[in-house]
Amino acid sequence: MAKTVKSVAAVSPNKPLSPDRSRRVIKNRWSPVAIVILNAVLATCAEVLLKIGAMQTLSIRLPGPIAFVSAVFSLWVVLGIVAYVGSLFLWLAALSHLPLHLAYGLSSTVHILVPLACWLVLHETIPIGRLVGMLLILAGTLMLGFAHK
Amino acid sequence: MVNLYTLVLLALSQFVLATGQVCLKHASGSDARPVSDGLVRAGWYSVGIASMASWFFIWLHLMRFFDLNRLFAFEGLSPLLVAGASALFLEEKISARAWSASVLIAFGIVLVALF
Repeated sequence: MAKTVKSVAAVSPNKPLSPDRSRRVIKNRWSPVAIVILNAVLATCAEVLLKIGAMQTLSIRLPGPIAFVSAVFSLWVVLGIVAYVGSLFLWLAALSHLPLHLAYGLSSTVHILVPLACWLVLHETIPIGRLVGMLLILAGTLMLGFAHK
Repeated sequence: MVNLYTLVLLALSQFVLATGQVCLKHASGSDARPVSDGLVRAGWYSVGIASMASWFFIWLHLMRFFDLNRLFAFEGLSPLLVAGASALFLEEKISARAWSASVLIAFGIVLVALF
């Protein structure tokens, strides 16, 4: 189990906090949120890397029914899998410090980051309806993030 | 193609997804309720990972019946279901603000999937 982080709720509201302690409380409050966001960033990287890998023409191709496994011979696909595994570990780390509903909601930022990454890296377009959806998700995750005590 | 079979599968996929997340949360513990027993933790992790694997295969099967963007629109349900499951099984207190945020996120995911 990761080192226990003291929650803000554990700090008495009546006692004034020293500047050092306030900084620690703020750090403790936002660190798990930062881990969830980092998890979403890694998951986005994984999606883009897998997409690039899937579009590549491979020099090694396995026969018949296991042909789909040939994708692992692409460096991009391997990097994508590594990024996915990394994001899973970050998710598990964040879960031990955040309520599930909050962590799950915040992880929805991946639905903003993937279209943005596709636009930036793969030059895909973002229709106006999708943009509105991304803004709604952004508003929701900001509301959740600031609701976190 | 929406019929009784695909609707049941969709409901099942969302159910096992929420179950998996609740089990993983149980395994990870929290600041207030840490999980100390290694065996208990391994049990929760196993059920959680098995549920997530089931979700993946049901989802893969559903892709045969729906266009990908239509299927992903149903993923909009997951923040609401996971929030409901957290309140029911993990006794998390969810404020009205957090519920509103989850509804916004759910609508956003549906729009992102449809356009």
